[in-house]
Amino acid sequence: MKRNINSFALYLIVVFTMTGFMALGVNNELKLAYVIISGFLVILQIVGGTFINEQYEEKHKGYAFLSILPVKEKEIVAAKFCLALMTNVLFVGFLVLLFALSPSPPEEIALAQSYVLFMGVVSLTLAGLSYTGIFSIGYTKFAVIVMSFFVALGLVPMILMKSYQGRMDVLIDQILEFFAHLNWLVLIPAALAAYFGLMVLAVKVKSYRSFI
Amino acid sequence: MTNAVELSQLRKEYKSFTLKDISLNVPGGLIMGFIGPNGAGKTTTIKIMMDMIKPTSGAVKIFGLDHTKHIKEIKNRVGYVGEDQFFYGDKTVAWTGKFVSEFYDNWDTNTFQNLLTEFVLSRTKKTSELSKGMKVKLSLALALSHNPELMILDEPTAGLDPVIRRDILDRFRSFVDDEKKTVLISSHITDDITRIADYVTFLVEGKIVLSEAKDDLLSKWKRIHYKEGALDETIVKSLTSRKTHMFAHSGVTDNYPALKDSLSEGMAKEQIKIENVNLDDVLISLVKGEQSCGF
Repeated sequence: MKRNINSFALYLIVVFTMTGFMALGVNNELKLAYVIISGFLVILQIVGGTFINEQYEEKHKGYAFLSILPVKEKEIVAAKFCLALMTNVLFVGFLVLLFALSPSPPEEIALAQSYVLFMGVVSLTLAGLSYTGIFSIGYTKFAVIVMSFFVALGLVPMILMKSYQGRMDVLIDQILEFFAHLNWLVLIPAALAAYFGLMVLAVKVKSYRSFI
Repeated sequence: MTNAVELSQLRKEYKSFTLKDISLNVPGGLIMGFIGPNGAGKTTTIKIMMDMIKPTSGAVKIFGLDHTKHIKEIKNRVGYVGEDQFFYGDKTVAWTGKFVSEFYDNWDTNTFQNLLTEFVLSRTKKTSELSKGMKVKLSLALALSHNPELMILDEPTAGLDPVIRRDILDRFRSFVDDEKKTVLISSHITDDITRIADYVTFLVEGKIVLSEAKDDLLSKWKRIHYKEGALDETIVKSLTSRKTHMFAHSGVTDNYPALKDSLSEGMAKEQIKIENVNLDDVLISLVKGEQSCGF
């Protein structure tokens, strides 16, 4: 965390500025494309950040370096999980606030906010799973598995489009219905509890794996 | 004298190698040399001590503290230099010092800066641009700057040129001039251990085969050169590293003081000669055991 704090601050400035300009670019009206891109940015910045961080650690044998210092493994893991959580909360919170300032109808704003919150929950879970996987089998092996997974994931839109051919409005309605009925009072604590559980698991997994 | 390090029944099992229930005490205030051929288990033992790998069984105490419970406190009081140095390669020497300093309670920035100057290490150079010798010196500067009570050194001089090697060994020797400080140094370069160690421990195939004060050991281990028939057959059989030369035989004993009297007559007749051995000879004897070599 200490190592990355400068680049982290710079990164947040870039992301927030970029998102702010995107918001201005849509004449203060929420547009579907903008909202969808914002959600994917949430996933990209958390999961991408996790992978970039771990690629860096592997390239420089960072864990071997850290292992000689007076720091517990659980502190290292906790710092990484905290950084991902902080980034997530800041970015999702920023987007929720940005959407709230839009003059769009309240139900559209609520849907957009629900969507980015959902993407935040997904990205947090993916980050937790990624750290656990990387500590378990190493960055390179895990990256190969994840890439294969994303290639397979690319088939999902094709399958959906085929299944809903000529009935895309039904699919869109179902998606909107899904986001409109998410219970955030349950989902957010559950997501945080799952994230904490993954952190505990990651500590255990890492303590059994030598990075030397 | 209290023990800086206590290893008891330490075991680590790998597919192709097992560290076999080793027990060892390293007394405080001196330099313990850890000698063994490559693959003997020196690095495994040290990495267990530094909590870099987990033992299959056994216990490690450093400064009397159980290392599974107090590893953070222990590492705060230990300086470590390994055979391979790992740093964030895109960061500078100065950044690395600043980064490491934040982990230690007793970090002394002046000591670190002075060591960088003494070792002629450029503060603005990226660590990936440092030579092997310079990386060892940076590791050493980092390890010494938090005023450690124990230095654990795993083959720190491997691959270094003789000038840098001598500098670094002298630094270890001066480190224990303060008698509260202890050094545990592993090496397969026995000259290094001979130069600085007070105690030596030999590790062969995952077992400690000998651990003793260096001077006592070198006074017991001698090479005996003898002419045919000059030595009692039971003594001949007790010798290791036996060789037959053109006009005489030789072998190494690990019990010279006990044999001294019985050898004196042969020595007076110049049928027996005694030669000092070095730690290399002891290691070879321990590794190969009895060895015959026809001429």
